[in-house]
Amino acid sequence: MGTLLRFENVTRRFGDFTAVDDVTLDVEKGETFSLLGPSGCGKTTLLRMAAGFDRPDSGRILLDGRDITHLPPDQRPVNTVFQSYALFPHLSVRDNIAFGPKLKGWSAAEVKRETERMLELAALDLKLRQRLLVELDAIHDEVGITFLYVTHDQGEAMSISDRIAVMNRGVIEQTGKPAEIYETPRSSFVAAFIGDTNFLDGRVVESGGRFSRCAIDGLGEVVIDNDRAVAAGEVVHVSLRPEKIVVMREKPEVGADANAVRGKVEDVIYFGSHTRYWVRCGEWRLCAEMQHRRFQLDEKAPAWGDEVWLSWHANDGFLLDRYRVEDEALLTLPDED
Amino acid sequence: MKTEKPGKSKGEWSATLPSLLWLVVFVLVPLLVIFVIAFRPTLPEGGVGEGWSLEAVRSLADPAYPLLLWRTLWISALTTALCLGLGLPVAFCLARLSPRWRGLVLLLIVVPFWTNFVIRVFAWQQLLHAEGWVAKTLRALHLLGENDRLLGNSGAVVVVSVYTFLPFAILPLFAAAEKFDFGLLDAARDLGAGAFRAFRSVFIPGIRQGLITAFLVVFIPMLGSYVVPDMVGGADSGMIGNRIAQRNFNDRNLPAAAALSGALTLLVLGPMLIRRKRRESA
Ligand SMILES: Nc1ncnc2c1ncn2[C@@H]1O[C@H](COP(=O)(O)OP(=O)(O)OP(=O)(O)O)[C@@H](O)[C@H]1O
Ligand SMILES: [Mg+2]
Repeated sequence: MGTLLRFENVTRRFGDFTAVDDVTLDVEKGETFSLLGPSGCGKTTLLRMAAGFDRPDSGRILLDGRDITHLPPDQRPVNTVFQSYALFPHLSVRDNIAFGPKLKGWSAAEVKRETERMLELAALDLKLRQRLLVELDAIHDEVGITFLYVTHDQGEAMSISDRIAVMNRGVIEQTGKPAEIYETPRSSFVAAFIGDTNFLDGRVVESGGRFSRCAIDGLGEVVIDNDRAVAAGEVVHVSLRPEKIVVMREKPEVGADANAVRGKVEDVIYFGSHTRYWVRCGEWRLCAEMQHRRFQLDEKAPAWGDEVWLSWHANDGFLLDRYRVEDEALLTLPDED
Repeated sequence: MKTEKPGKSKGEWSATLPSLLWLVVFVLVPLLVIFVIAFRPTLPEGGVGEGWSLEAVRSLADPAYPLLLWRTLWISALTTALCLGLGLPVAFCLARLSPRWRGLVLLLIVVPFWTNFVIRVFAWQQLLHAEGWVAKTLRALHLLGENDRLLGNSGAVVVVSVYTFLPFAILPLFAAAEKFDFGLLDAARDLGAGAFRAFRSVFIPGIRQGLITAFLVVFIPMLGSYVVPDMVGGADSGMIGNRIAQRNFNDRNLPAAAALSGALTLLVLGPMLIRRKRRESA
């Protein structure tokens, strides 16, 4: 397909605050691409630079290979759907619709015909936002427009995007397909911002080809997948999603590439389709999630205070490239009490 | 269900009462007094006589008045246009400034008010004087002829009037610009409008109310202006206000002055009332 929009080492500062920090990003032709990140991470700033409302302090923005960094908004074939809808209050609905086409130099008759058609289509109602998304999706399928979408709602981003860039404090933490972002987070921020997880840290005691053994203080030795090369003695951080952990009453039979640890249920929250457990294992408190597949036929669910075994395959944990303690605060785990 | 009778409720009345009283006492009553005096006879020794007379009203047919009216109108219109033209970009930039700078610039705009208006016009007299540095500089640059004057003509009246009224134009324009959603300019640009086009077809209509207010607070006082033309204007730049003052202070012909004032008032109120009627019926 090829790249349509490219941010190249784009930096934008406001005073001594860096809102966008050396961002390099490629949006492919025809894809729906989301910028996802917490409030204030620089998404809107990046989008405004793509539309031409703002200029980077350094770096370039390319559209179809052409440098558009200094092109004014009216000369860019880029269009923005504004968060506030940005309807012109001094114009009627009809004139609002006609505003763009008139500027594009359409004839009066064409403008009139097309506005009439739009007015039939676009009965404005309260569910405007959802309708807008559906409408945009239809346009997307029909004419293959490229969408750059900005959101801090990870569910929204996951469900509508072909690819996502996760932003934090002006920096792109990771870019990839929704499943990649979720299953193979490169940083503790990505792992914690998208869904819930458990962070385990330990020291590699024996590095192998596919798997390594890792000693975790207060939990014991576990086997990890070598998502990247590790050396003996290295301190590593692993993200382990709650739904990957299996909760059992009996000690499971596990092979050399899986783990089983013993613990005691400290918290249980029932969600209907699944239940969340917080289990005390040595000095650790792990979050695990169990699906309920068959009503009353599943094994009787563990309750508060029960002794259980947690097991997971080495493959189900993911070895992080970058870990920061403060990202733990993003997790929705209840406080220990 | 009990329905309210149309009309003002008690609360509404008590809220508008003070401004209503103010209007009646300081605007309506003096206006009536002026209209009454216009129909009184003139006493030879000055002052207003008893009984009724159309003499003062007939004096409005003075052949010098059409030119006087025309000059008053164009000086007022030009001053208003310049005030709006200069005030618009200032208001636009002010609304885009960070709150801290905005406060400072607003302060600078109102600072001249701390000096008496007449004193400031005196300062302009010095500034525009034939031997003043402005005139000297312009003459040295050959932008001003040897016999040309900066003072004593309609140009000086317009310049000093613009100076006087500019802050009054900026303030309502700024008040409107401050409420304007500047995202709309982005939207217009995004839809293909150039910077000027966006300013003209989105910003200007967006602050329409501020423009109307600015127009009224400059144009109407300008129509009655007499201090500025008196102090910096010349023989051929007198305005209706000067004529009224002359009738009043020099000729001591109060009825004639009142007739002229009344005519001017009707001239201003007439179009406004018609406009309102039209809007109500529309
Ligand atoms: N014009 C500006 N002047 C100063 N600071 C700004 C300006 N625009 C943005 N910022 C700052 O840059 C940072 C990034 O802002 P931005 O609007 O891009 O965030 P965002 O990711 O879109 O957040 P949100 O999800 O809340 O919309 C914020 O801290 C913001 O305060
Ligand atoms: Mg934003």
